[in-house]
Amino acid sequence: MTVQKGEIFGIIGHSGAGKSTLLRCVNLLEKPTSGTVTVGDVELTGLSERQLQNQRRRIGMIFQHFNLLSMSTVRDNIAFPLVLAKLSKFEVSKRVDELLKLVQLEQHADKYPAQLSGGQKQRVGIARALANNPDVLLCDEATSALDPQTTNSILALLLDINAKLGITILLITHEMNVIRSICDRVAVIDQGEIVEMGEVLHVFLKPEHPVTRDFVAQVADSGANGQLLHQRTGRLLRMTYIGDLTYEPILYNAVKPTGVQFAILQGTVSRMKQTPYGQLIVELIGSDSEVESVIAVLRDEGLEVESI
Amino acid sequence: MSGIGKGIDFENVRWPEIWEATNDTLFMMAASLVFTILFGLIIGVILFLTSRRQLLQQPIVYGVLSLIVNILRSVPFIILMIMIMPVTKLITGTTLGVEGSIPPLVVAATPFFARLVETSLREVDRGVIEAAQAMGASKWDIVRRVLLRESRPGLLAAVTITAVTLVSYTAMSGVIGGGGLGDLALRYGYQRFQTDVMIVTVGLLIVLVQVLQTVGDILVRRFSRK
Ligand SMILES: Nc1ncnc2c1ncn2[C@@H]1O[C@H](COP(=O)(O)OP(=O)(O)O)[C@@H](O)[C@H]1O
Ligand SMILES: [Mg+2]
Repeated sequence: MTVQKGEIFGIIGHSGAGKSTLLRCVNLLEKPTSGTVTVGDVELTGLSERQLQNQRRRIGMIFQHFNLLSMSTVRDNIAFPLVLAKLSKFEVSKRVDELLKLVQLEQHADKYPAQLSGGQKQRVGIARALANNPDVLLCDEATSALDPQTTNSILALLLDINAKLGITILLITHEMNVIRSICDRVAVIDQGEIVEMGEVLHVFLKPEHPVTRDFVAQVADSGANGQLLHQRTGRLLRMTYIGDLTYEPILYNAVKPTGVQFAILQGTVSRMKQTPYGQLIVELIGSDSEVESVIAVLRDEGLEVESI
Repeated sequence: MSGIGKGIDFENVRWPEIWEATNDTLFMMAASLVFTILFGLIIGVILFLTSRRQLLQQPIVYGVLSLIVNILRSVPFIILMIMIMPVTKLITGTTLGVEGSIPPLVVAATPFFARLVETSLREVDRGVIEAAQAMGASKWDIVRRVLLRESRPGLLAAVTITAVTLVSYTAMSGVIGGGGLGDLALRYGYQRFQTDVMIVTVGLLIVLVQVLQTVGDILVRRFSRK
């Protein structure tokens, strides 16, 4: 499995599937029994303990339960990795100020973790993980202990960090919503095995493995109503729009010149990371030849059309 | 001669001697506490690190150290004191007086304190240790900057309990002429039936324990962040 530089790569799986184990293999908190781990152009599995400690500074990590030093202030928590890297007092304090600003915690610098909300604690975690300008950020269920609104603000921050600093983000989660909001690519893990992997949009619209389908169903607003679909007499189509097409009146334009009528039976229009997409199940009612010509027009416009 | 029947008039109490004994007790307690903290911290940290699923997991080292600690803890102080007399003599040149009681006090209190240290370190969140490892911390960094720091309230409570225990041990060391308030209580209060001296010395010991516990509690509260 390879994660590209600069991308946000998500790993999704049910609890106990082995997500944390896989993520912890990346910085060798967990030693894999076989295989190699390479970050950038350094093979971590071949390093001495000392060298590994140095390489780990290039890999930031944040956690579900934040794992902050409870006896240290926000400032000292963020300073911790810098002190480990033996920066001078002046450099440490300068860098901590920058980081506090980045995660918008300037007013909370002298508080202790117990005085912060979950979202604020995770911001401290993020600042601490970014302190040594890592190339990679590992996120172990970083939003799973947070409410939906805070989750969104943390995801926005991660997206921002990825865009501004170009840091590769590898995150694991059991929430499809997280994958849909910020990931470029996704891998699905089940019982310690990667069962599906690809562009988020692709995996989302065409899930193949049963586990993937479960996750996709989590965020689909309605389960496919098989009963209802079976009772229809016209041609049933699943149409998928991606990108700007989503907002065009394509279906209307396609049927207008013909006598075909349509009914929308089910549909989603949403957004994945920055890309809008839509998926509709429609019934076309008309003569076979007219229906075929509508389908041809839709495909011409760039839609994916599937008979069901 | 005074006695309980006649009421207590403290006629036998020679205050300068009491103050000197109080000083001796304080000195024995403080000096042995310093050594106990030093050795106990080291042994406690080693116990913790070598225990199962910890950074230096070493079942044999842990087993041996743990056994020694248990043995020392199961010998009553008074017997331990007599047992190690030759060692005491070797270190301080005497088995009597204030100096003579410091080695047995340290030997008795160190295993006790080491166990308390081990227990406090176990309370440190595993996730925090892991986070430090992920940031490239060495084992020494983790001991110094994570374990000892995160467990500070627990360690302060452990020091308090140990200090109080040491006060009662110093009183016992009076039996072999260790000096201090215990010695006084034993010589005058018990052997010469001077109940008033007994009451004054016991009263001072109670005050000392109260002060130690209160100061300890205040420190623990001051350093708690949860
Ligand atoms: N590839 C694997 N091979 C064997 N055991 C594994 C593998 N991945 C994970 N496990 C085991 O499965 C359990 C759950 O793994 P974990 O990574 O904590 O799951 P998750 O984070 O997805 O909830 C752990 O006890 C781990 O040792
Ligand atoms: Mg997990």
